[in-house]
Amino acid sequence: MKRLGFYWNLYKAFLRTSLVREMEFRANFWAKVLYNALWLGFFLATLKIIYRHTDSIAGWSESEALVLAATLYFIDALIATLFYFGLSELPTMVRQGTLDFVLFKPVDSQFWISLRRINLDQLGSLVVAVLLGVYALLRLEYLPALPNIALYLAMVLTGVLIFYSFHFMMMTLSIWLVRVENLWVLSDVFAQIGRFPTDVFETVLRRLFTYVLPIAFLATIPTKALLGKASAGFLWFAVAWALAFFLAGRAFWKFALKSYTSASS
Amino acid sequence: MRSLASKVVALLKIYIADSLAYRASAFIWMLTDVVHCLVMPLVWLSAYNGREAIAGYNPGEMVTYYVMIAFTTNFIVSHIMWDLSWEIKEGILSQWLLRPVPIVWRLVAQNLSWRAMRMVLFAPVAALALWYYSRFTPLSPIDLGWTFWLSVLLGHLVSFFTAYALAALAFWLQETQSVFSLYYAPMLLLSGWVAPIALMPGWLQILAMAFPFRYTTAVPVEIAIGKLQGEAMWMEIGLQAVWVLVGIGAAQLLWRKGLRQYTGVGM
Repeated sequence: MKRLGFYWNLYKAFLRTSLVREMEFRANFWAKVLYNALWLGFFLATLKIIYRHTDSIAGWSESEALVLAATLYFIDALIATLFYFGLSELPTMVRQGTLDFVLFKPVDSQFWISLRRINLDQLGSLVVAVLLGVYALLRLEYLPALPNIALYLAMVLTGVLIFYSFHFMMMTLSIWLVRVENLWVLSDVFAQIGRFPTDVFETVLRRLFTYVLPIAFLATIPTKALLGKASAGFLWFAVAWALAFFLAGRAFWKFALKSYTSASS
Repeated sequence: MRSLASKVVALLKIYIADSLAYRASAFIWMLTDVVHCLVMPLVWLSAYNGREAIAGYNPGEMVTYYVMIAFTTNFIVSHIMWDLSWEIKEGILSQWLLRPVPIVWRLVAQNLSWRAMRMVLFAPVAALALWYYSRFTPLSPIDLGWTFWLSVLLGHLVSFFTAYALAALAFWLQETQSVFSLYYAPMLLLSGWVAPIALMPGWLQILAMAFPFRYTTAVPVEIAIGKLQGEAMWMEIGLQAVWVLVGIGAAQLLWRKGLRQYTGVGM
């Protein structure tokens, strides 16, 4: 319990330093919000171009696809707020050998690397994502029942954990792939697949993206749960996947550290 | 004095070796294209709902379109402004100003070797993708004749000179990264990457004609799948040539002005 309190205080310190940093570049905040909104707009334009020519994609109406897009955008923004900045520094730390300073600290290294930088200028995107989701539900004229909302929120949480763990594992590859500067693209690709309902894939790929690389659990299955089209049983799957991915990520990190050669020290 | 040609050949050799050293990066960048030509056709195939064609594209043509757009993008679309603007900001450009070969030739060599490697890497993926889709729908015939390659080459030059001109902004602007990021949204939309331009609303199709992007990848792909033929095709190839000249002109102008006030900070 004392340990937990220690980490909680540490996290508050991370939050404080991130906030101070953010206040120094206040003009950046709105620029970032606008910039993120532009890319959301870009994806919505893609959807619009498709739905100009059809009423449904694999059984998904335009408004339903919008709920899905909002969900993925929300998860993406939450990852970007909580973990992205810190993890994106990992390859540089490996290259320059400054990872040593993290490993020497009496703090769990995964905790430190993942959570040290909180990217507050992504908060705007979270709000935009929620607004988009509400707009899409209003367009659908669908009011989800409370159990569906609870199921949805729980699944979004597992989606975040799955996505974070995947991203963490991909960035961990930098321990070996010292010269590769674009590992973050691997997580981008993960999200790129999840933006559309995984129902568009034929059986083999759909199973692959549900049971092997659980992209369906990012947005497709949570959205189905919200719309009352997925059974609650999927939640146990989602929780199992999230835990498995988290533990795998942790084990992978521990394993990778054995190969860390501390390049420049 | 050695001739310019032999200098360029020497540069090409260096940069081919350099590109090969970064093949892991190239492979990862390529995954974006792989996923694009996996997801988008399947989305569209689920959108036909029994109809024979959407805006003149039957399922086979739609699938082939996306595979070809991903294939040509790997060779055509240049991103040199990121590194180049960094060189300007850090003063590293000075090294190249002192060497007995114009900067543009160094960039041509660098860009060409990287893009050629990307295309070679992507070719088996494209073949695999086509084989995969052939199980769902009869594919559209692909014409990879010399007019296609001419158009690909012109598209490559349009994209190269646009990126080259864009990099010059670093002579004046403190922060170029966000400008470059903003460049990608219209670029991806109007180059035909997102969807065939014929599927877009009329006003976007008109807008596409006013930007160079359509003349990078959309034109060669439409030639390959037979959407552009005869006179219309030559018209578009001609416009590609015009955009190459516009790009060269803009890049020349911006670079001449920019270099005049380049201070080489950081050295």
